[in-house]
Amino acid sequence: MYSFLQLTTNEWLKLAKKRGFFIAFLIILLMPLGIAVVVKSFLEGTELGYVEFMQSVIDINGGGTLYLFLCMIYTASLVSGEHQLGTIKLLLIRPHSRSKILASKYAALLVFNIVLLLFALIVSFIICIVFFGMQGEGSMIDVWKTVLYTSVNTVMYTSIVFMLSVLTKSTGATIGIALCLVFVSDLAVLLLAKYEFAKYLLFFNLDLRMYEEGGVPLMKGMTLGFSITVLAAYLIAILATSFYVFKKRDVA
Amino acid sequence: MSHQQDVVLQLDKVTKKIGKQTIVDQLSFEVKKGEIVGLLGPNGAGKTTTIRMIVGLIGMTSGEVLINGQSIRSSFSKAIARVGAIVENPEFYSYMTGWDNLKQYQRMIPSITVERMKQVVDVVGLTDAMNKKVKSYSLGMRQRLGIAQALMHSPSILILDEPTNGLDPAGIREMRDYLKTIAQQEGIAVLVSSHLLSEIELMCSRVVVIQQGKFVHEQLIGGAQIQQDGNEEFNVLVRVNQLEQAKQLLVGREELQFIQANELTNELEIRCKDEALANYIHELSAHRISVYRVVEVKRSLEDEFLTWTGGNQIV
Ligand SMILES: Nc1ncnc2c1ncn2[C@@H]1O[C@H](COP(=O)(O)OP(=O)(O)O)[C@@H](O)[C@H]1O
Ligand SMILES: [Mg+2]
Repeated sequence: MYSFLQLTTNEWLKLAKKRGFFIAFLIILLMPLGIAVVVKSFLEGTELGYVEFMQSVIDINGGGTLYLFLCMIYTASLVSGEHQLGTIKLLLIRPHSRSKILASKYAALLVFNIVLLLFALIVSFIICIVFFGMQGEGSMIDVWKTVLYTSVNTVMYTSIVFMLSVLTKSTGATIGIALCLVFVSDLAVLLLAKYEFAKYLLFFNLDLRMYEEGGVPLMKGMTLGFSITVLAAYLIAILATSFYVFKKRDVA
Repeated sequence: MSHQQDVVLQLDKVTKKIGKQTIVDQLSFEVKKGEIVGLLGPNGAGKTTTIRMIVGLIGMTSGEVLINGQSIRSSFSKAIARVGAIVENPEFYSYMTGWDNLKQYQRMIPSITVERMKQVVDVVGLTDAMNKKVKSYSLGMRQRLGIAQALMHSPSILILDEPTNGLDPAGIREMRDYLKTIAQQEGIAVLVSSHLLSEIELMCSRVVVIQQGKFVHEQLIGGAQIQQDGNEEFNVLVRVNQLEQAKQLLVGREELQFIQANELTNELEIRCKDEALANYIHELSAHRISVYRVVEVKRSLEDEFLTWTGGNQIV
């Protein structure tokens, strides 16, 4: 366990010591700041509650998209970067199994997702308090629900990025394909909704907000349990593929 | 068996096929403690592929690699824990400092202390560069950082793939000196690959020659040759006062092979083993033939190399 933490520390440092690391945090800081400034100066008298504000900063259809992109871009190089730098050769000749090394990279990905999300929450809370004061209705429970929906969406997408990074060994290709997938997903939902099999597709199950009160499932017969099962199946397949390929690969 | 204990690295019929191509073919050799062994072969001979298999970066089609008796296939972690290596160029996280790079590898092996890291950095002469980003390092400095990285965990064997590639003559000399010092100080085995005979000659105590993935020849080099067991044949020039008579004494003797005679200098070149030579000289004395000189004829390694590889396929 200790050695796994050490490996994860290594992976985290490889991300964090990059020169532009702070930029993601800067963007996540500027986004709510911008919104607050605009609202304050142009929509006079608008009262913003902190629950509502925090939700909008991380919601899948709001600032959550930006958060998702940042997570995808920052973790895209986790595996491919080692291949492109050639450091993979020095990394894999240590007394640790390849599975453990890949797992530590996945752990670093999750840590990054969590850290950036927490940062977004804290920053948006503080900004809201500063600009609009402690007010508004709703409780933190609603914020946590949004955190959950956004996290499910982000973990699925970043896991795909992770797999692409293993498969393509190229950071550019990984980011390119992943961004395409994000844009294609909405289109796919639109075009394929008439087919029964579509409910088994990943894209149809990513947004769990459809099971909220007042929400409408994308297709008949879809339930929260169904979607969670489908997502879990996809996640297992994505990770199994990544680990299998990484373990078996000849590293040239 | 003490012999077995001394063997640090053992390759047994290691083979790598990619598609229909056989890149390494039934390659077997050993490296013992304290030896610097050169893996010599022209570009494309399969040196890098062999080293990749030794360290488990690529799989073997068949055969076995043992490091201190542990199989790299079935006990990867145990086997690799005793290996320090650089495969092709030493690549680092260029946006980090030299020290941060080394810390990466230290975290992967719990037994490495900061003192040990500093000691190794000192051995390779990088103490002053530790706080600089690796992207500002010269190739020579990267090679040395590579060696530091490979030595930190006190391995039993150091494996370097063309360590002098891209270095200038001064850098090459420096690298050679480092390797010799390290092999002595750390008392470890070293395997170095190269396509340059001259380099192997200066650095190694033994050379394993491969060509097109196949074992071609194995040979002790330089001072190490003296330690041979007397069963090796060598050429020797014998200067005598009566050339013809000396030549007659060779007739009918299997163990003494006549090579040539030089009537101007009264010299006879023969090929034989230690004992045969001693007997021959007794014989000469018994026939009252004066022996003025006995000199070994050393063919340059390069000449021999050409015969091993059957021609001019190498530098
Ligand atoms: N992944 C690969 N696929 C196909 N051929 C390869 C691969 N890797 C190496 N080779 C071939 O194997 C041969 C040996 O390569 P290598 O081990 O790099 O030689 P060396 O290091 O001795 O120069 C070369 O002919 C090379 O083209
Ligand atoms: Mg090579």
